[in-house]
Amino acid sequence: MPVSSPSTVERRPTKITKMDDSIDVVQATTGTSDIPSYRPDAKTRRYDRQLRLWASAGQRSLEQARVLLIGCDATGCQALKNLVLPGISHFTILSPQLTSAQDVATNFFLHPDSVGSSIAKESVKYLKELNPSVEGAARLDDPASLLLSDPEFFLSFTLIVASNLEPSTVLQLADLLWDASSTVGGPDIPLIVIRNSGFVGRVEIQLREHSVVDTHPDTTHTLRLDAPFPSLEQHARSLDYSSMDSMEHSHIPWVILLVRAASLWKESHGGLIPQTSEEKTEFKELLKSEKQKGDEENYDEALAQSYRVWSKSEVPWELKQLLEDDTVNNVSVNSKNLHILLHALGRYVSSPPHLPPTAPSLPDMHSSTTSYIALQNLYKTQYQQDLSRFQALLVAVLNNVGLPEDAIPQEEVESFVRNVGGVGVIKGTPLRESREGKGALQDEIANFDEEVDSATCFGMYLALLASERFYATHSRWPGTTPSEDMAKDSREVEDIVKGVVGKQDEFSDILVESIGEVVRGGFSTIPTTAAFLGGVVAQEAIKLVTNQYTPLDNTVIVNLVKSESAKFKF
Amino acid sequence: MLALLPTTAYLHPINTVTLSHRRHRPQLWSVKKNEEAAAKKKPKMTAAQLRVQKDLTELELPSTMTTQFPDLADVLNFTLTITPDEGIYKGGVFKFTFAINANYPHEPPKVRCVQKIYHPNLDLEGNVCLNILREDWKPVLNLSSVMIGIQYLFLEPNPDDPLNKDAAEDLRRNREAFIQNVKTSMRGGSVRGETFDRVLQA
Amino acid sequence: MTAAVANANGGPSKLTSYLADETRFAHIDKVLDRRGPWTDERFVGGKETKDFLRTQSKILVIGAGGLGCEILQNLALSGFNNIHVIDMDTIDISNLNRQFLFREADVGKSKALCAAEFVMKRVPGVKVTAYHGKIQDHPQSFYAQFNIVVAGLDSISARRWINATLVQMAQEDEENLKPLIDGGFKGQARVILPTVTSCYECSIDMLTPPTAFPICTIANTPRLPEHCIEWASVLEWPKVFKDKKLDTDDPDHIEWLYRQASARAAQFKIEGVTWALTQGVVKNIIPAIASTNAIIAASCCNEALKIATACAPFLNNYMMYVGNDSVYTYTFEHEKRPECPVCGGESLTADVGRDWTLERFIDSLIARQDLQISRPSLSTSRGALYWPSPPDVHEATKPNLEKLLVDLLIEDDGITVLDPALPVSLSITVNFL
Repeated sequence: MPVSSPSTVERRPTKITKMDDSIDVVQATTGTSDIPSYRPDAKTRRYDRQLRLWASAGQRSLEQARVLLIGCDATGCQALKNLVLPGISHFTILSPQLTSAQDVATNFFLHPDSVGSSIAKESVKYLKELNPSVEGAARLDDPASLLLSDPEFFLSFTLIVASNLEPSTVLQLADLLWDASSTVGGPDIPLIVIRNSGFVGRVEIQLREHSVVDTHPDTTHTLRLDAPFPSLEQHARSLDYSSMDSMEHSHIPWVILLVRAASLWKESHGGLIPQTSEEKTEFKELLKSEKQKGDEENYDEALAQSYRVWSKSEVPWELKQLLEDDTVNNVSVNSKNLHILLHALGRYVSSPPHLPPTAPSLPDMHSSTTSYIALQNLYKTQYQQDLSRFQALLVAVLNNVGLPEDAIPQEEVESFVRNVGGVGVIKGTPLRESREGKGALQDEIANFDEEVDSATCFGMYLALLASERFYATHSRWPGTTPSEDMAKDSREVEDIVKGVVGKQDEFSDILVESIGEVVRGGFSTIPTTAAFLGGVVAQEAIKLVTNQYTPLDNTVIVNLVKSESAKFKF
Repeated sequence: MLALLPTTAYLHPINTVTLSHRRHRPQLWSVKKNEEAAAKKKPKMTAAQLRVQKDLTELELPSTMTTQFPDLADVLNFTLTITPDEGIYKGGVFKFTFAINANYPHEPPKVRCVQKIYHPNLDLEGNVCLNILREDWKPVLNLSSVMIGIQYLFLEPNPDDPLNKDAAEDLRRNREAFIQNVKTSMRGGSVRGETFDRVLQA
Repeated sequence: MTAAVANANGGPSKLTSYLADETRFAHIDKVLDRRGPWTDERFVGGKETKDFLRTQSKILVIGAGGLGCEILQNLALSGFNNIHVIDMDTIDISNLNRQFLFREADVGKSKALCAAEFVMKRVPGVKVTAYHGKIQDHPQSFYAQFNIVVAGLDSISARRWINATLVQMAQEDEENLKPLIDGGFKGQARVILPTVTSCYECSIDMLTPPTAFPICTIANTPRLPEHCIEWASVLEWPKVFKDKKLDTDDPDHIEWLYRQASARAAQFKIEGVTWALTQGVVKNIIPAIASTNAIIAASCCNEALKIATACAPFLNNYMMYVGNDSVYTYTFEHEKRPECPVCGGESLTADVGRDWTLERFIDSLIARQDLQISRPSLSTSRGALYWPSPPDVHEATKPNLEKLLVDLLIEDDGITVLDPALPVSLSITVNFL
C-alpha cells in the first residue's frame, strides 16, 4: 500500500454536516485511499473540548436552549458567560436598572462607559461578543410587575436564572413555574435561584421532575458472567483449550475464561454459582489450574475479575425504584417519553431472564484481536436482539395509550436501551416549601450536629433564610448599614434563626459565626464569589439542558471563607 | 500587610501546627544570609534530574550491564550495554538508549535498542515490548527496575506477546531452530530474508 | 489608548469620574473594611489593607489559557492592579469555547499579550504586563518581585518547575517565601506555602501516569480504535518519516495518522476510529469547559485575595471540585512528604577555603556527625561533579577529586548532594573564604 506523506495528502473539502465526525464502518472499510477526510469544520473545532464531554446530542440540546437571566449582576452574568461560550441558542437579561459604578467594579461584562445606561443592554452587548452564534436580548421591565402583566413571557424559556432578586419576587416566579408544570403537558421549566453575601453563596434549583438520559456512569458494561445469554455460554463452552498453542491459550479473553469456568461450576453445583468463601477460593484454584504457564496475563486478569461471577446480574436498585413510580406505572398519551420507555422496560424485565437489555460494550482485555472482536460481536448481537424485544413491547405500550408507533424517535429508543444503567429521574419540591421552613428543613434542624463537616454551611443556609425575613420587614439586607450597626443586625438575624430552629437557650457557636459572616458580607457581590457561583450555576444549567450528568438536587451552600460547600435537599 | 510581615504572618492559626512541624535545618557551617543570592539566577537541578541521580547512584548493576554517558552534563540521556552471560543471547553485546524527560518519574524513560536484532520482544526499529516501559509504569519504579526488566528479556524471551511476530513464531514452533536463528542473527547474518546487525563480543 | 477608548464612548469624563469614585468598590469593601468571625488577627482592614491590595501588591499569573483567562478577570476585579502574566502559547480556535478573552480574529496571536490587552481595556485602572514565553527562561530574580504566584497550567513539567523554583527561593531566604496558588484542570485548587506546606512535588506520585498501551498490543493484537491510532503515531510515523517530528497541531499530520489508523482498523474489523478520536489520542486532549474552569479559577483568586488582605483564613491547603454528580467539593490538608525531593531537601551554606580540593570538601561532609553520610554523590545543574557509581560515571568524575573546588564551580553553582543514607537531597551553597 503506497503511503502518502502528509505534505502530499490531497486536501479534500470538509463534508461535515453533523457535529461529531463519526463515520460508518462501511465507509471506513474500503482502504486508505478511499477514506474520506472528515476534517472537522470550524464549529466542531471551536466546540471540540466540550463535545468530548456531552457529544453531539448534548450540543444539539444546548443549541436549542433559551435562557432567561433575571437580575443583571456579576453572579448572573458570570453564569451567562459560561453558557454563551458553549453555545446556547438565546439569552435574555431582564432588568430595569441603570448601571452604577459599583456594578461596573464587580461585573466584567460592563465598562465604565456603561455607567448610567441600561445595565441589561450593556451586559447583553458584552456577553454577545463571546460567541457570534448566540442571540442575546435585553428586557427592561421590572420583574415583579412583568410577572403580573405578562406571565407567558417567562414560560417561553428553557431555563430561568434568578440572581439576587427580591425574595418576594423569587417566590412569585417560583410559584408561577411550579403551577405551570402541574398542568398536563405544561412546561417544566427549571428555575435556578442565586443568593450571595460576601464569601457566602447559595444556589437552589426548583423543578418538578428532571430526567437524566445519561448520568455518564463509570461503566456501562453488562457482562452477565453469572447469567450468560445462550450464545455467550455456547461460545465459551465450545472452545477447545487443549488444541491451542501457548499464544492462543494466553490470549483467551478473561470474560470467556470466567463464563466457561462458571458454567462448568454450575453444572456440578446444582446450577448455583460459588456461594461460600471456601467455594470462591476453590473456584479460583480451579481456574488457576487451567494455566499452561505461570505468566499467562489473561488468567491473571480473570482471577482479578472473578468476583464478578458472584456479584449477581440484576436490575439495579435505582432503576427498580424508577420502575415502581406512579408516573411510570400509569402511562398515558400525555406521559413523557422517558416514562413510556421505563414502562416498557418494566414489562421487559418482568419476563426471563429478568435483566435489563445487554449493553453492546465490552472493556478492553488481554486478548488476540480475533477473539476479542468475536466476543464483542456476541454482545452486539445480543444487544440487537434485546433491542428488538424491547421495541416490540414498546410498540404495544404505545398502542395501548393511543400513541403512534413512531412517537418516540428511534435514536432516543436506542440510546435508552444501550444505557439503561445511566438513566435517572429527579423529583423536585416547590421552593416555597423550603422558604416557609417546612418539611425537610425541620428534619435537618432536628438532626443538626455541629461536629459534622456541613454544620457551618447549614448555619449559613439558616442565616440566609433569616436574612430574607429580615429584608421583608426592613426593606434592606442585614449588614448594609455602617459597620457599627453590623452587630445589631446580626443579633436580629440570630433572633429570627432562633425562631426557626425553636431553641432559644442553647444556641450553637457555629450558628452565631455563620450568621456573623453572612451579615458581614452585607449581601454584596464579591467578584470571586460571583465567579465561583457563576461556574456552579452554569454547570448545573448545562446538565439540566442536556439531560446529561446528575444535577444538583436541590440546594448547595458555598462557603468561600473555608473553601467548602455542602448540599441539602429541602 | 503582606510585604511588611515576616513569613509566619501568612499563617492563620490553622496553619501553625504545620509550621511547628517544619523540618530542622542542620547547622553545618555558619548559615549566612546572602543578601544578593536571591537576585542572581541560581540554576538548580530539576526534580527529574535529582531523581535520576538517586536512581543511578543507587544502581547495583550486575557485571552483565554497564552504562555509558556520552555527556556528563546530561544525565537524562545515556546508553545501557547488556552482555548476557547465560541463555540464548549469551555472547552478544546489546545497546539501549535511555531518554528521560522532565516529567520523570511521572512518565517512564523512553528506551530503544540501537541495533537491529532478532528477538520476539523487540522490533526491527528497536522498540522494546516491556510492560513497565508503558502500561505498567509507576513512579515508584526506577531505572534499576527497567534495566533488570530488559535484561530479563534476553534470558526469557516471551513468544506469547510478541513484537517481532516471526521470531516469536519460530520460538513457539521450534526452540532449537530459533536458537540457531539467534546465533545467525548475532553474527550479522540473515534470518527469513532480514539481515541483522552483528552484535558479538569482540 | 485609554483616551481613545474614552473618546469613542462619550468623552473622558465618564472614565475619569469612574476612576476617581472610591465608592465603586463598595461591594468588596464590605469584607475589606470589616472583620468576620473567622478573620485572622493580622487583619488590619480599611485603608491600609486596601492600599496594599490596590497599589502595592504585585501578582504573577502563570498561564493565560482556560484557567488563566478566568484568573486574570477575577484578579483585576478583586483589586489587584499590578498583574503580570506569562504564557508561551498562541490562540487556537479550540480555545474559544472557554478562553473568553479571545475572539476568532485573535487566532494565532500570543495568549499572554492578547489577554493582558483585553483585561486592561475592560477594567481601566488595572495594569497587566504580559510575557510571551517560557517560565523557565526567567531567573529567580524575576519571580522574587511578586507577592503571590497563581498558576493555571495544564503541564505537569511546568508546574514542577515553578514549584521547585519557589521552594528553592524560600529555602535560601525566608523573606522570599512566595505563596503559590495552583489551579488544576482536573478540578483542584491548592495553596502551597513553599517549605511550609506540602508542595506540588509532594503529591506527584498521586497523579495517574499517562495512558499507554502495550507496544505488542499496538503492533500485533489491536482491539480498540485507540490501539490503531497509537500504531499509526508510535510505530508507523517514525518508520515512514524517520527523524521528521510528528506535529500534533498540524492537521496534515493528523490526517495522515487518521488515514493509517482507519485502514488498520478496517483490516482488523475494529470500529470507531474518527478524526476527533485520532486527535484526542495523539494530543492527549482532556475535555474542558468554561464552567469548571470558572469554579477552580474563582477558588484560586479567592485564596489570593484572602492571602493578600488577611480578610479571611486561606485554604489549608487543597480543595477538589467534582461536577459529574451534583456539586461536590472536598477540602483537606494534603500532608507534606518528608522525603519529597523538592521541599524535603535540606539547604545550607558552607564556608570553604579557596585551597580545598573536591575530595577535601567531600571528606568534610562525611566527617559531619549531624549528616551521617558515607557515600555521597555530588552534582551541579551542569551535571555530575563526583558520583561513586555507576562505574563509568565514577571513572569520569574521579579526576575531579584532585581539583580545587573553586575551579570546578562557576560563580553561582549550588551543589546537590545525595546519599543512600539521606532520605532527601542536600543543597549546598558554597561560600569561598
